[in-house]
Amino acid sequence: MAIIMTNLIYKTYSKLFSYPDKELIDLLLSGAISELFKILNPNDSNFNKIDKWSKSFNNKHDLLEELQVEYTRLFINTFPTLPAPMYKSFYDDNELFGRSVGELLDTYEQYGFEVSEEENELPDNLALLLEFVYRLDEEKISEEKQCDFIEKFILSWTPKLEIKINENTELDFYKVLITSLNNFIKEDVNQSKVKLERA
Amino acid sequence: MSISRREFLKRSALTGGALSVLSTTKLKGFTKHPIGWKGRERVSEVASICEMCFWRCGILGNVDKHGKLLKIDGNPIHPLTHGRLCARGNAGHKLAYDPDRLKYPLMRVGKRGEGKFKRVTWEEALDFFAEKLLQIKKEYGPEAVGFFPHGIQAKFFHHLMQAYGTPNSVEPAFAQCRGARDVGYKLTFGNSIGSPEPLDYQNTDLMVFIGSHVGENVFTGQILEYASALERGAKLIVVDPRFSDAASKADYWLPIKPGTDIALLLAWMHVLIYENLYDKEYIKNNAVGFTQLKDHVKDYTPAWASKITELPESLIVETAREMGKLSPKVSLHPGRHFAWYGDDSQRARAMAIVTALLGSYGREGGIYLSGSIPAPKYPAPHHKPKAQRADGAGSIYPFASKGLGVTNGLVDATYSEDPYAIKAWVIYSQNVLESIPETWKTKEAINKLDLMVVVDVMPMEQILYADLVLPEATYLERYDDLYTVKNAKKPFAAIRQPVIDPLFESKPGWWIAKEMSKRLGLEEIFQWETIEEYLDYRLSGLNTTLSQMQANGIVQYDKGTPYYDFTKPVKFKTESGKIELYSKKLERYGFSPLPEYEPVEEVPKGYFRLIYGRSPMHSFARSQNNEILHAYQPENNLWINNKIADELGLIDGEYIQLENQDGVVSYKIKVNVTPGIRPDAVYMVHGFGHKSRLMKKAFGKGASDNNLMSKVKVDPLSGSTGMRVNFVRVIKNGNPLMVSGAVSVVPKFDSEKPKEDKHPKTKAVKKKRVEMKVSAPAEEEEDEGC
Repeated sequence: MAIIMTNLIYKTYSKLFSYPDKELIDLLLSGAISELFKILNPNDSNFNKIDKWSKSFNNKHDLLEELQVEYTRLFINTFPTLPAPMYKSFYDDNELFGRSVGELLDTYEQYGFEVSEEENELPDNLALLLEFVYRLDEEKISEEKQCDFIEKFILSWTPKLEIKINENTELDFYKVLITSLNNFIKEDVNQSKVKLERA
Repeated sequence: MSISRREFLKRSALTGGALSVLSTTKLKGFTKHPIGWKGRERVSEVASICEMCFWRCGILGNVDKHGKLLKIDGNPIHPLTHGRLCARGNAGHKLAYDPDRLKYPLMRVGKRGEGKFKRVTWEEALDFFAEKLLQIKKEYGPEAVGFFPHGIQAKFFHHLMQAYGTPNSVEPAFAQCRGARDVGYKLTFGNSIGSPEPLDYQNTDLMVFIGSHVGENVFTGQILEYASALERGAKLIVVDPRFSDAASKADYWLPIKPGTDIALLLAWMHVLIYENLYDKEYIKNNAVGFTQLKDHVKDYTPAWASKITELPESLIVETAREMGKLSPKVSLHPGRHFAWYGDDSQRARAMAIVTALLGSYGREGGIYLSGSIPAPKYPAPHHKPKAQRADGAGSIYPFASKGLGVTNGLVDATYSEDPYAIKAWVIYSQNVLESIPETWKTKEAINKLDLMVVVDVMPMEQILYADLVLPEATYLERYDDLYTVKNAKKPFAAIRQPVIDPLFESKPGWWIAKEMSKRLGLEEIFQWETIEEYLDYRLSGLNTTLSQMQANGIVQYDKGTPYYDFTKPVKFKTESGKIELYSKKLERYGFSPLPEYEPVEEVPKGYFRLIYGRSPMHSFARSQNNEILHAYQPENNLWINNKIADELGLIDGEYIQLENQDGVVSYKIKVNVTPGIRPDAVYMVHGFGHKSRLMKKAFGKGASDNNLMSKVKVDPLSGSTGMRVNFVRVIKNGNPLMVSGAVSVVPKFDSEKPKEDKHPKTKAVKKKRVEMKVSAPAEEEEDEGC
């Protein structure tokens, strides 16, 4: 159960930070995501807001379009400057595909992974980084190595992304998601460190 | 005691339903390889051609093992640039890795101008695009679609649009840039000048620039030859109201009164002819209309021109004599951005005539002859569009290129729905809101459209009005059509090939056009499966293949001596077969057969004429947000005469604003107080003063010349939009500063759009549209940048 749960969370976050599609809408409306968040954050009522908001739409199409428009504006393109690019390199190297991406690709290779040909996102896109943690967990790579990866390639910049998202959107959806993601991965890394130190 | 998150999760459990739903979620981001996999093999150095401006210099892209472009160098075997690259070329990788670049096809969701889009798949995007085009064709005819392409990358889509049936294809490279120049030279010599200008600087004894600010306006190849010529001792005459970089190196600087160039040129002709300094043999054997010309310029003496140009008579005489003395090895630069005062084709005629009198055309040290490249052309659709053009090329503007068209003519037609309604614009690598003046009219024209599609690399302001935005791969990620350079002493062909894989879902022009052709039932025009096959077809004429070209990117020819052989009769491509000093063709169309000086509107008291130019660090308005180029030059400044600045109390380096004759006010711009500009003009570099706060580096830095151009004067021959007809006054702390207590005589308006009652010429009046049979200008012309 532990492995399933851990990688399931990263997998779910990866899906949530990917471009919204019908599958995501079904997930949101099925209640599975809110159930997961309640387990992760029993005292946080923000997820209820998202849940309620998602269910306030008359139909799935409208909800999907609302999320797609906001995702496009925040993370893909708007005129003339993107408010919150979802790439590590933007924050660490001040451009896309900067120096840090080389190290990331070496890490992918080290574990025998390559960004698939079907995937058109850059290697350091947040959704891909989160998927990679899921893959590492699936491959039974040690918790320590997973945490190293998370710290180095995700946690190093997602707090900055959180600021950008909060500054640039009125919609709660991505604000709540990025805050919960940051809280989760910080806690995951910290607790794992404590556990390793104890061991 | 703290409990590990992972341990905590052990104890928690999702319900079966939720667990099942989340577990079946699909992710497709990674491929797993066996242990020991070493990654892909990549070529580390790729030869291609630049596109940071339009000159297409040779480059070598250095790529690391992950496919990341590390840096760009010049290609040392490039015949014109010899391995040199300008600042913009060096900064090219910043375009590929710009976080703002267009990444996926975007479909408009909100209202036009609102900027609400959603990402869609290419299939959805192209299906929508094709469906709309087919619908418009059925309801209004194919001519209801206007196509605004720019650059070599748009060629394949150009073929597609032609096959679709619209005659309305327009590029700013003509009417906002060098169109009038090419009309004037073509009327005189039978050939357009083309690009790069075939100036024989290697052998010249004298270079003459009329407004050309070589050194600030950079083509690396031309700069290298110009610098070598200066070093070799060639002389330089610079005619410019401003003490430009070139003027600082000149033997003669003629700070001419703006708008009076034709008067100077007529006086030069007068001196050359009446002091017997012209090349008599050359003119006798090769030109027609000399007698009429001689009679025409009889009264255009240096004394006459001196009063008009405000140049000393002696300087006019001395420079004409210098040219006569050094002829034929005189290279009079034909200029590039030529759209100044609405008399531009005739100014080009005057320049061409001076060149002819000097015997410099087709001669060593003057202007050499273009060659040819034996690469077979794209087999363009046989069924040429039947409908009348809407932009006025060939009718309102009888000498405008039908290959490049008249952008402002198509905007006018869309705005006025004359001669028919235009229902869609397809804009390909062109920025219609920056490149075409009178932006208010462009915006109103857009409001009349049923469909607007933009294909581009970066999100320019115009995407806000688009229904569909398609992301094109950058020049570093794609093949384009073969680039052939005929204006080189040894003509050559160069390939553009991908240095890196296209990022995101950006696609090359070939792919976009081919996919659209399938949806429009026009597959037959793309008979090759891949662009590589097509390039092999073109290269077959050059006895080489793409794979042979890929290593160094260039193949060159020796066409022999690039000058006329005057031991044999020379036939020019004009109606008479001779150089036409006197143009019967112009006469037939009701225009002056010889250039005449027509006074331009005087600068109103208290105002200055706004003139503008280029910077070596930036390309048009598109590079100001580039991190490297922004660091080199973050803003433009305003050149203003020091005596005027004293009178106005302006201090060098302080910020002011400008207000034009229609009340349009600029952002703040830093003052450059200098004796190096005439007191009646102010100068700024084009492309600054970006309006959006989100363009973080470029926002609010400097002033936009384009915004201050709320009026134009259109050249009746070519349709070219003369843009140096706007006047500005200085605003400091919100108040206008007036010279010598003068009062404005120009009415002020409240908005950017001039009111129709005060500007009757801006009304959507029906224009005279007589389809004229003009054989030479109707030829297809290649895009050669601007």
